[in-house]
Amino acid sequence: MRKRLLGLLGLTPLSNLMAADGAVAPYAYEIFTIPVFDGFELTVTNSMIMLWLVCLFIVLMVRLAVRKAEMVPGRGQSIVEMIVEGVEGLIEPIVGKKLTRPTFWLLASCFLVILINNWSGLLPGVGTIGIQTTYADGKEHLDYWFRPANADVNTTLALAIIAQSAWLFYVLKFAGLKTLLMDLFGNKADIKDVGKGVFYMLTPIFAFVGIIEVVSIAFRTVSLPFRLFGNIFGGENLLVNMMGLTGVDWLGWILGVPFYFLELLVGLIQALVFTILVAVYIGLICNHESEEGHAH
Amino acid sequence: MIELFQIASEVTGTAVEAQSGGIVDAIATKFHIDAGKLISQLLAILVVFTILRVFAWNPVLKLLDERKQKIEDGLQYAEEMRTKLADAEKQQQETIRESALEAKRITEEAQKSAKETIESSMSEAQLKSEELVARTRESLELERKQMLTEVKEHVSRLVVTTAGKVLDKQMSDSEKAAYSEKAAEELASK
Repeated sequence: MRKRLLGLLGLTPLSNLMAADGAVAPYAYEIFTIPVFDGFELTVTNSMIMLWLVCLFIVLMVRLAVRKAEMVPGRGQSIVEMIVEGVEGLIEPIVGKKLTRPTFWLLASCFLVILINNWSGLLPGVGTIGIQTTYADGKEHLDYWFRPANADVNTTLALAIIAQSAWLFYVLKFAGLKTLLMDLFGNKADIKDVGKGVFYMLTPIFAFVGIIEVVSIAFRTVSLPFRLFGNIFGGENLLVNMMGLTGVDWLGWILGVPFYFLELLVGLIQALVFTILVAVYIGLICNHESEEGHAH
Repeated sequence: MIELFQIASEVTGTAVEAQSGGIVDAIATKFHIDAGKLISQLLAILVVFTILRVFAWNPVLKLLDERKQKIEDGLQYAEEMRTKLADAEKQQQETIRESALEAKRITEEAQKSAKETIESSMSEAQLKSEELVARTRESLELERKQMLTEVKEHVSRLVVTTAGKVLDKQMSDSEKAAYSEKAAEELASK
């Protein structure tokens, strides 16, 4: 087994970015372990390192920007205010006025953390700095230290678990269990419009639809993380493959450049999609303002 | 992309072969989903969410609310001030109009009063001047009369003296009186 430390992107042979099977590995590599207590070790993966670094960066940037919130904002504070107002404008029509402020921290944090993590994959050094390992079968493999956190299902799943838990909390707090159950299983037909017979016939159908709805809600814990993971992991693969297309290591970056712009866009869109979907899930049960408005 | 399809087919293939729940294990194995890693990521995300909530979103939202309130207050204050200014301007115009009217009234009164004073002074002066003229005339008449009396006496004495010298005789008192009287009558008749 041969090990060597590699430099930044461009200095690294592109073949090294790929896993032993030729593609970017669909999982994060274990870089080192921290013994916590006897018989238990905390495994640290490259996506964990990246997530912590990105989180640290976000916290530092935000603290630097909003060191002391001033009535007349400086440049940093203006950027944070722009994000705040942007997210607020985005979620208010979805979750409703009543829930905008209570859910703001969740949705704004989701957006910012996902966005920066998505874009972190485009930084030089991410996926290219690590230890070159030659396995027993003779294949060379780079155990890189930094992997975009959202290219690891553990991260996106953690985000989805937080989002789903928050969804349940806000639904129970602001809509209540009765509203939730009525929304899921209740008969939504108007007895005056359809008549008693049809109304009672529809009741079991609505109850069955409710079961499907529960499955659909439960499945959000799968769809949310895999959508985000798929896009970011796919982006990583796309970049690596495009860069390897020329066959010349030092020239590989040329084909990658247009796709960097694409990935910037994908990163933003996926952050927006995740945030909007979580907002929509909350708004579907809690926000009946527009319906009431129509009714009146 | 080919690699992605390979991963998907591998996972699906494993799932088909697997018993109930096998697909979950297959996915977990393929993507290295692990409770320890998941909890670690969960904690990291929760920590950063909490930090963002406490140090970024809450102060900025509070500040935005304060700024919004200040702007609303400022606009309301400006509106109040605008109304007050309009009222003040209206009041000022009213005061100016009233002052102009008052000034006009005072001027008119002053003019009237001055006219009256002038008229009164003039009539008084006229009266005084007339009185003065009358007194002067009286005085002049008296002086004339006195002068005439004196002239008469002198002329009478002169006539008597002249007559006595012409006649070269000493005249008695009765003659003197007769001549004097005659001379006086002559003078008076002229």
